[in-house]
Amino acid sequence: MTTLSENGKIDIAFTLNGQPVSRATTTSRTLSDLLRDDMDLKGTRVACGRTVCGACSVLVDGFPRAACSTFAFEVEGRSVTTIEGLEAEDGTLDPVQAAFAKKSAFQCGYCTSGMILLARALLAEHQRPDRETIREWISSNICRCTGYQLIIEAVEEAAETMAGKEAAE
Amino acid sequence: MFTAPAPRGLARSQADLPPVPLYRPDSVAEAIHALDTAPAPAALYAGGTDFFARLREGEAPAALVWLDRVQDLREVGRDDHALRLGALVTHHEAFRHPALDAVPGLAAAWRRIATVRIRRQATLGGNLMARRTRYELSILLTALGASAQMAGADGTIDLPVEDLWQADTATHPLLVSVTVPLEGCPRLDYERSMRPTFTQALAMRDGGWRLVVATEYLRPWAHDMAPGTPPAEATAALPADFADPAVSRAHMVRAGAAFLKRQIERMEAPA
Repeated sequence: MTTLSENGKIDIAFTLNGQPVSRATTTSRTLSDLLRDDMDLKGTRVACGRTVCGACSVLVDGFPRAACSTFAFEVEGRSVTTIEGLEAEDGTLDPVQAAFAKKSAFQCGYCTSGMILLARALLAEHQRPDRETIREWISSNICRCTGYQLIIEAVEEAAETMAGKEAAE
Repeated sequence: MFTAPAPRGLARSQADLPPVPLYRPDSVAEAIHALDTAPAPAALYAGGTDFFARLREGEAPAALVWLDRVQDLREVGRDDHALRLGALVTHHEAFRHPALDAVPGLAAAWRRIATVRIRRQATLGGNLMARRTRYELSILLTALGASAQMAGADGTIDLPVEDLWQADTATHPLLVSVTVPLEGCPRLDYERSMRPTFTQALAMRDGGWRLVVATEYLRPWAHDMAPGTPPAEATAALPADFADPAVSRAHMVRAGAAFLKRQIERMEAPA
């Protein structure tokens, strides 16, 4: 057995948005608090605080996970992507971000970063998802404004854009 | 019988948990040892989905025992007699596992639990040991007559899943696995009514059927019956006090019989 911490203090190292990072933190620090309060990445939004709504979704090794319900120590050695990590260095939006903007797939915007990361993971697993698959995935996160229709259309738009890019390459 | 939930206390958040010692066992024995020797109360930690809800409800562990490295808790397998599911298996891993083919209908029912995102994080053990009436694995596994293997300092005991609600987790705190007996070729069908909320599982085996009905607030009610029992007769056996503020007994008797008729038709239809 490994005692990871006897006093509640712990050092962690992980990959954040493609860059290696390390932090001294505590065993009770959640990933959302680490990202927002210690690393100033405010794009991760916290709402329900109990896994359900998905507003705080980040990608951990490519799959969305509620950062509010993940301890920081759990991402040791893993890769974390936040909404800040999606756009290119020159500011070009990721195809999913661009599709959400084009379709206005948000109103208040609070759920949007989680929705975009969820959609990113969906399109990594299903390059051309049908509407039923999109609905099943998108129902993981809660949006109280849009009624979801515009989000579904944005995911379809992003899938088309990404498929077109791949074909062009 | 319906008992009103406790009134919500002052809002808590994850930030209310102070830094605590953290242990990472490699085996079931080490996990039990950690629970026995860590500052009390120590909490088991795995998927986290229910753990954080409990924190917000007031649970305040003095130490964490993180189970992610205990490989024995991840095993899924079957032989001629039983299907065995490790407690750390996530919903996503479980319903995709070929061993579940041993119980037709189980994977399809399991796939309906939670959402794509939560299914990859939440575990069988968390779902069962949370002992929350709104969680669904207890319903499915009670219908199938499953047993739970619980580990403690004095060894492992077997308990029917339906008895986990009142199990003494002080002496045997760790769910190691769940075993579904395969005698009689069990198969399962699951129905949900969302408004009002109640759920109904039917397991068929050679020689006997088991009906389980549950609501968001009521523990699963199990009823063993002979094959061919008329649906209305089966649901009429619901206890007189089986109702909650959202769904009446009369509704469950009536709608449950309609569900049951459909379930029987589906399960008896030629493959």
